Amino acid sequence: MLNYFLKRLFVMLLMIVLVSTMIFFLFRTMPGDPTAFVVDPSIPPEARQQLLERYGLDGSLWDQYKVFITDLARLDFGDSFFYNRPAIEIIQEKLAATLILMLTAMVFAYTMGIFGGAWMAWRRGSRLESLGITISLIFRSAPTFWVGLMMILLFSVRLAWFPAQGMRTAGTGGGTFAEMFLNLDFLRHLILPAIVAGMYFMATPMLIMRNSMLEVMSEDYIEMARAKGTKERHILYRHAARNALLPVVTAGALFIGASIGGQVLLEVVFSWPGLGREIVTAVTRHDYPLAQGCFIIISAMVMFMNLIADMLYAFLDPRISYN
Amino acid sequence: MKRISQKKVWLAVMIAALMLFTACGDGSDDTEPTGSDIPDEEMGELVPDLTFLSSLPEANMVNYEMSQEVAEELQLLGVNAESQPMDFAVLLDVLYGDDSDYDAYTIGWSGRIERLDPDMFIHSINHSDNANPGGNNTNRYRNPEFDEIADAQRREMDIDARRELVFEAQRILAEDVPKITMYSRANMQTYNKELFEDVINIPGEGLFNEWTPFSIKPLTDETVLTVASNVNIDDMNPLSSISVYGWRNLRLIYDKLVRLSPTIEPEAWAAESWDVVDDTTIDVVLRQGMTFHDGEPVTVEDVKFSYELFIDENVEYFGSFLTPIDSIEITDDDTIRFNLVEPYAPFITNTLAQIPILPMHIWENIENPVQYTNEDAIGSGPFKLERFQTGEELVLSKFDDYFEPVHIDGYIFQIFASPEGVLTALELGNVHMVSYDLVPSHTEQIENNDGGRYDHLELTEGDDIGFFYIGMNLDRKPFDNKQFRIAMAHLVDYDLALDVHLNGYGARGGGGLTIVEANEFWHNPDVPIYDTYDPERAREILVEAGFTWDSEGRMRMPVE
Amino acid sequence: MNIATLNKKGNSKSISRLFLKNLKYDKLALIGVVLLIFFIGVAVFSDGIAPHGPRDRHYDEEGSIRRLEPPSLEHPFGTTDVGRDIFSQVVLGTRTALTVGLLAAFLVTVVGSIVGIVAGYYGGWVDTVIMRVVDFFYAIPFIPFVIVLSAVLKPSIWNVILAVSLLSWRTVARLVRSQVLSIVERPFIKAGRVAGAGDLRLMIKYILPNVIPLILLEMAFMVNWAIAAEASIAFLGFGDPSVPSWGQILHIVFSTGNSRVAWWWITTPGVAIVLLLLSIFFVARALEEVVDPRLRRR
Repeated sequence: MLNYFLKRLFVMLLMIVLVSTMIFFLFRTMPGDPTAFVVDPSIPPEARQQLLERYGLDGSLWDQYKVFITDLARLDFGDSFFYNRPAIEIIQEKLAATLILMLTAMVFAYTMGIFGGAWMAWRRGSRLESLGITISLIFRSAPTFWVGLMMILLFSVRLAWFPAQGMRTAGTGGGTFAEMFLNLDFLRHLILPAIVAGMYFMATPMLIMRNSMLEVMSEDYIEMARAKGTKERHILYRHAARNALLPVVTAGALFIGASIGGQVLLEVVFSWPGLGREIVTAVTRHDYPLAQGCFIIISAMVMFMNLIADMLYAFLDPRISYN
Repeated sequence: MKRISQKKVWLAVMIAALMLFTACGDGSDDTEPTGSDIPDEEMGELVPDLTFLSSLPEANMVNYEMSQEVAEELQLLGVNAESQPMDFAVLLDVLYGDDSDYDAYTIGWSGRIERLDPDMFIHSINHSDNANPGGNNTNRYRNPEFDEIADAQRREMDIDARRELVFEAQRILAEDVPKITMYSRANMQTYNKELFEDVINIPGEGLFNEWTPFSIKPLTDETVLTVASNVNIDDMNPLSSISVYGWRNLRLIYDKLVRLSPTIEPEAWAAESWDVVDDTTIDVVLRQGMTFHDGEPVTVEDVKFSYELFIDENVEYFGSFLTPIDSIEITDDDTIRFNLVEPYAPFITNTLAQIPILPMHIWENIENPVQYTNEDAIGSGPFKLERFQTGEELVLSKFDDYFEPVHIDGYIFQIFASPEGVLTALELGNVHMVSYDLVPSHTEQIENNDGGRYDHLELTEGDDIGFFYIGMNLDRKPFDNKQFRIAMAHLVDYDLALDVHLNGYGARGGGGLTIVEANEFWHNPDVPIYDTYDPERAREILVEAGFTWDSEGRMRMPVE
Repeated sequence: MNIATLNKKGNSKSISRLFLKNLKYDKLALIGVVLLIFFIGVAVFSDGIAPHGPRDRHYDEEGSIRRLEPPSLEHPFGTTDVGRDIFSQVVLGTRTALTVGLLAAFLVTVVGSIVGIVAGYYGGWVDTVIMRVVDFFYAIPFIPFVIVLSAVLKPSIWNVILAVSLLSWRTVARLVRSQVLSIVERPFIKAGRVAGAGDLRLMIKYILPNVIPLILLEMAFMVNWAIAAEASIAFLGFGDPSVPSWGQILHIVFSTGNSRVAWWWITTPGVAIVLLLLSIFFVARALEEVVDPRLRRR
């Protein structure tokens, strides 16, 4: 197993180099250059040339690539053109904001989904089951940015219950991690986007759980428990649900990987200063180091979580073995 | 359902009619609008297919829409025209690139303060010297008669004589129509009048300028002003910051020798006074008793060091202001002498008013100043940097030891992802002022003030001297034909742009209009300008100019 | 694995029969099918149904533009800030949504199935290489990728289709592969091999029919994914501005700052997206019950 893990890890590193290379050249084929954003067209061409030098874009493509890839080996993505700071610093800040939002949404989605799914399997064929499915699928069908807009109009504009924008009230940022994230003001800002994202994600764990429960419930030992007259709730959560969780858990690991990129649109609608929004602006601004860094970090995370999902699956399900 | 079937019947009838029409179409001569019985072969060549480049809708909705409109008008005239929206960076790349591969485009010049002087709009964007790749004359307009006047106004030191020349230049432009101005936007901004008073509105800069932070007074115990932005700011290093809003904040952290007053007059600021000893020698006396935010005194050494640092580091943003400086010397405890290479008239208004004073005791120890992050920026300006949270907010507090009184305790510059979020925050009272021009719909919502939601907001309006226009590549057919350009000026619905797309907040454009009315002194009001939307007139002009339409209704160039 | 009966011919026919039979008592599936047919109808006849062009401006009797008018008989979904008919835009947007959805889903499932079958059938190093390629595509974040793509190419709906296809076939490939892995172990494949069937024949005639139900199901999900992706891209402003689409409508209402004054403008395209995706989900769910007998009612 360890052997397998190491082998996969090695392949993963190779992949990251490949993805980085592709991203590097993809950005260089984009028309328009980064100086267009910072240099007013009325400024002489020499200024543009100077900027290109400062950004390290004056050499040949191959030279630029060599610098890029050697820096990457030292986990250095270069300095962001726009912020004039190491891209990795910016990514860290933004990643924290995105992860907090996504993990909160995920906890919400999985709690609702697992219990809801188990319950739906149990109440199979009832009208309430149909209602549950319909509601979860409606939220799955609605684009998060649209639901977000509607929620803002309702809860922020009309009712003024929750703030609509950003992570915190102006001027309250800064300080340690705890000061920044563990306070009521932050929670108030978190609630609306987290619920919108959570409702969207909910359908996946809920339906997987339901199907998986149906599968488990047709197994003999459940029938036996039933025959023995064990309480229904007891059977549901003690026996059936436990065994049905496996696919939900693996789906969860994959989900974390996929959510690193963030719900770009949700971040735009809620002005959430996350990685998703940053990567979009970095790309449109032609801020290569920052955009490349974001891409690579997201890719690495996704690959790593895929690996974890595979390992988890092997670990939880003894029928699968890796030799 | 009934509607569908009706439609379907119509469709069938139309198709049948069309087939009939094409079947016997060849012989019939009612194919408007030829107006001639010359066979196709003897007509001029086809007017080439035209592509109108424009911004993406979110970057500039009006330009995007107008570009489509004009393309559609041309289609009606039998020209194969289409509009192609593209990313702003890509658009600039095409316009300033080496290939100069474009037919026409929509773009604009922003009305920055220094552009009140007509040189930029007369000379830089119309003189044939700049009609090469990379130059600002992206219309490739070349007129020797015009060039002469444009050069003359540049040399003319007598303001009234110069005005005459600028007026004449505008007359030629209006006649030649090298570009078609569609509209100017008014600077509509807003602030919370229940919490703050005494703002200053400067044309081209709006409310969040250099002066409002000095003049604004809190009316309640809310003493920290929150300013909303929908544009991100880059960094706090004066040597590397290149974003407009980065600088609008930096100039409040770092002081400057001279500040331009709200009426754009130079005013001694961190300087006690200046003295033009001769054409190439300027003495500046430093104000006494100033300190940096860390308590160190501001000295003439700091000033000399700052200017030299900017020169040594080749800061591209200020390059043109600094090249005239030959050397800087300290003549006594509070006097610095600038020796210039040659006389440079804008030295006081541009150079002295732009370069910030940096603390030498910090910057002399920094190895690579341009790359320095400068997280704890220390300046001697009216506000101290408390915190810069990338992409979120910039928090500043009042510097107590500053020589001019400031009435607020500080301000927060908050960054939003969209104007929509700003409006909500304005309504809820979470932000107190905007630093950008409101989108027309928001201006209207605040003005309408439904249900008193915006009772606490005051709208401010400022005229913009900038303009948005349709540019044409005069090196290409059919734009090399002046009559075609004049006809084009009749195809632009100026009222649609202003009244519909801008909700009336702005000014009308016109063919060849360059210096707009808002620039009162330099605008020539007596020039007749093609500024009516009249496609019929456009057709007449084209017919008179010898354009013809072939049997398929396609427009053809005049025979040479 | 998931399929009740595996045989040479597969069970496509019985599936459609079962699906139809299920409709009788599965109300949700019935609603889904009806809605889906409705949307397809609207998409096919959108030119006939839409009373106006998407960019036509409308004027009232006094000649002024009908700006931001709430729904009326003439304009059932109201008008935009420059007097355009939202009903027509939404109707025309249906075609864009379905075109992108169906085309992308088709490409994705074709590529994904071929790759999945090949990987699962041959196994060994072929499988390993293919699965690593799949990993590669898993790791590329979608929306940033489309933005780069639409900058490199021109903004158009084809970019969205291309991007969805490039980055989504991996999911199908993975699922199909694991299904194929279990099928190749079945006796009828061995029997086929003994009878002298070549690799190609085995894959097409023996394996494909057995994975078709799964492929169909995945295709349904891919349609939804592609439609949602198109809407997101258009909402961010990276779509094709000249093609009316639901995301585009929402983008305009948001970026012109009219979302709070024109409820008819912001709700209608959103509801259209929800209904279309929901109908496909309902159909897919019914399909799933047919494909996986353990989900069937006892």
